[in-house]
Amino acid sequence: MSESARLDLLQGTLDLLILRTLQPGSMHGWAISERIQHTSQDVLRVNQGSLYPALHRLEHQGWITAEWGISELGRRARFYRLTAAGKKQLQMETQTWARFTDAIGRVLDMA
Amino acid sequence: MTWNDFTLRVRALVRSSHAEEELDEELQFHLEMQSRQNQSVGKDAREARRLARAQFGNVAFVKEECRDMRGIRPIDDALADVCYAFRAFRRAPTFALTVVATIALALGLNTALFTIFNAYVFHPAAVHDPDKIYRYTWTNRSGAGHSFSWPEFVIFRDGNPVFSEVAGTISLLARVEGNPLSGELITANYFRMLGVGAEIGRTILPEDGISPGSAPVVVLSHTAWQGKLGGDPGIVGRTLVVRGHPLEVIGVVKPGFAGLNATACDFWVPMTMAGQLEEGPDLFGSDYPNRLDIVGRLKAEVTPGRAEAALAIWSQQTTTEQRSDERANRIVLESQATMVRLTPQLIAAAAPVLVAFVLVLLIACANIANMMLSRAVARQREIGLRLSLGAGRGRLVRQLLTESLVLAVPAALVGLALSEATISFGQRVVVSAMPRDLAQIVTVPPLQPDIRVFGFLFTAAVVSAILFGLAPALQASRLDVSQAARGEFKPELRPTKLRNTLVTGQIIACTILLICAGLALRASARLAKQPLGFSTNGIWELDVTEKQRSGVLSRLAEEPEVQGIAAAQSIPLNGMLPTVPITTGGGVNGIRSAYNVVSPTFFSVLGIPILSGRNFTQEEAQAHAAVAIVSQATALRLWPAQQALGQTLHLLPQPGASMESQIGHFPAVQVVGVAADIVSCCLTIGKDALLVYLPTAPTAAGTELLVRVRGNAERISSTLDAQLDLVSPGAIDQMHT
Repeated sequence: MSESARLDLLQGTLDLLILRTLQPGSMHGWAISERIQHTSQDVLRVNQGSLYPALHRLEHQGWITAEWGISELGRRARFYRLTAAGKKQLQMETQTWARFTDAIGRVLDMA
Repeated sequence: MTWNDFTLRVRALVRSSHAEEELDEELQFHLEMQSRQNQSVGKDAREARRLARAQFGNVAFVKEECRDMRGIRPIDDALADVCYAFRAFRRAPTFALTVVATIALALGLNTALFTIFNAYVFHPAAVHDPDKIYRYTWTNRSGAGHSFSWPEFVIFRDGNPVFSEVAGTISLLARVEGNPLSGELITANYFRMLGVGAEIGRTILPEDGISPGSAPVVVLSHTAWQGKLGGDPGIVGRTLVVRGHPLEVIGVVKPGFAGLNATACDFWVPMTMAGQLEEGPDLFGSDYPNRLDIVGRLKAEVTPGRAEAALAIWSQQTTTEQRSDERANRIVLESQATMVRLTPQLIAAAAPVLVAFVLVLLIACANIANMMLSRAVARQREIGLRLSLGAGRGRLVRQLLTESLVLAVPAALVGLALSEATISFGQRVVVSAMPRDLAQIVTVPPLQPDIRVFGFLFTAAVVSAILFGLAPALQASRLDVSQAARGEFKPELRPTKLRNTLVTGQIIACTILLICAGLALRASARLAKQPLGFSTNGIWELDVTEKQRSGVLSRLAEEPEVQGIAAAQSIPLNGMLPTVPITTGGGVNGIRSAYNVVSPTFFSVLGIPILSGRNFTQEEAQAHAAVAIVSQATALRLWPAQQALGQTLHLLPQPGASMESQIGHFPAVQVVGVAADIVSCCLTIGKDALLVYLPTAPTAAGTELLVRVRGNAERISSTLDAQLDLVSPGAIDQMHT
């Protein structure tokens, strides 16, 4: 896929993506970025660097927690996991997002 | 901030190096994973690593952002600033020491003042719920306060609408075992109402005050017990002779409680002992003397405002039967929660002192601000460098302010020590400057710094740090970055305007302070130099109970050290003399003149010369004969053109006024002598304009005694004390020089 076809993330959507990605279970930072890229079929370009400040921010907000675990390579890695508050937040943000895209879609379909 | 957030921040702060390592490890892991993936798609190891870094972006920048997320940046910065400030001041110790010393001095003085103010005005009385305790009285038409008779007290206690409990007090001075003590007669519910308990023994209980004359007991204050009475652990059960009456000590109250008045109270006796301990008509007798003061505890639901309104109506209703000039005109309800009430009058009276002290602090701040300013000029290069490296101006100001705070903290500590020293020194000076026996009566409340003092000190330190730090910081950081980057520094930073303002302000404040100090010094020097018109050296003043007057007089006459004994209704320098309207029959009609009733020896004992005419004779004194001696000023005023001797003066005392004085004996008097002018009332007023002396004898009731002694006054006073105690224990209430 060419560079131009990739989309920069919209402001504020990274949080939603991280939360959604963590829904099935705990994951370390690199895996999260890989998963987002992979599931979006390489359309969404997650700036790998900006992932970590976002993770730390979500952790401070209490939506995810982190603990050290052993990665698939046998090395220590920091695994993130949704908290109860995080699950609630994900639900809320998902709804908001759906309403948002729905509204945008309607406006665009107007013609 | 959620709890989760808080714990994370604390962890980040406390284990910052740990958090830093973890962050490092996490990002390293990511890069490792990424380069492995890159390798798996066919890149060689080096290329894979390079690519991983490129995909990741600026690692240092990401780390910085992650740190920001921890939310401890301001604290981190502050810590760094503090460390930096310490390093800077280690390089310039003289500067730092000067700042600390200057601010400490100013802070110390202000803290000392606040400590004193705090002890009197803010420190709550050591009673249960002090905010509900109020003193109540009323003033009559002419503004004179009212003391209550026993029946009035009973009516008030039982009928008033606002107090849940009411106690009566009468203050009392007595010499006990050679110490002047100030005490109170109290209704027996006093301690129960205030909720004050005993440290040892018990307090006075309602059973102690059932009928007049009951329970010859006394309760001591902790300070009096420890200080004046020597702290005897077996004090309870001992007998103290108070005004000639043996009273059993039943307890010592908890430390910290010394009555509700501004002067400390040393002992308490049940009100029912009034007949034994007080002079004059019996409190419970049919004369109904007005003596009681009333304090009470407001009912829980009654606010002071409502209480005042209710009491105004109540007191007017209950006094409608009385003579019009004795009716309640305005009621006074004074909170007893602190020793001194914080009223607008108090603020007005204290304002000059407060302003002076605050000015001292401001001058010190201005001084330091100036020093900081010149330091900032010297630091242009450093500040310029930081600005061009991208430091924000706010960040720089914060750093410079941190330096000020770092200096203010030790200054506050030194200031605290200084204030302690000032207070103890000041106390010593004041006490040693007071006459010995006054110093014995005046008890200073404990002046320990408490939470309020620390709060004040802290606030003052921070405010002064901002005062002396902010202006220079703002000034210093106003550098032109482009110039600074080229390394161009102006020789001066143009802080001239600010500096000029500071210096001008300082000079003005200093001048004001100096002028005020000069005026105060001059005034007191003038007072000290003022001739009194009589000699106070070796003069003792004795206040004797009437029953033992003759015994004391004959014992005094036998003492070899006693040179002379005089009696006077009013002792000079003890306050305003009473006045009476006088008429000469000639030109002067009805002007008020001060008068004093004195024994013939008064003039010789005090060394007041009789300028013309003669002194009173013994016979005239015994008989209260219709003769008078006037002061020189009086003679000149009343008979400017004539001889004063032989003239007749008519005294016109108002009916009912000053019943206890002897003025009623003298409707018309013949002037037999002229005495030199003296200062009777007080130094600030000066010599009396009009003063008439009338004769009396030392044996007459209602006069105070003056004794002139030879030799060492202190030693003689103690021997006299002991000797007199033998003939008539407790006869002497007070002894003064």
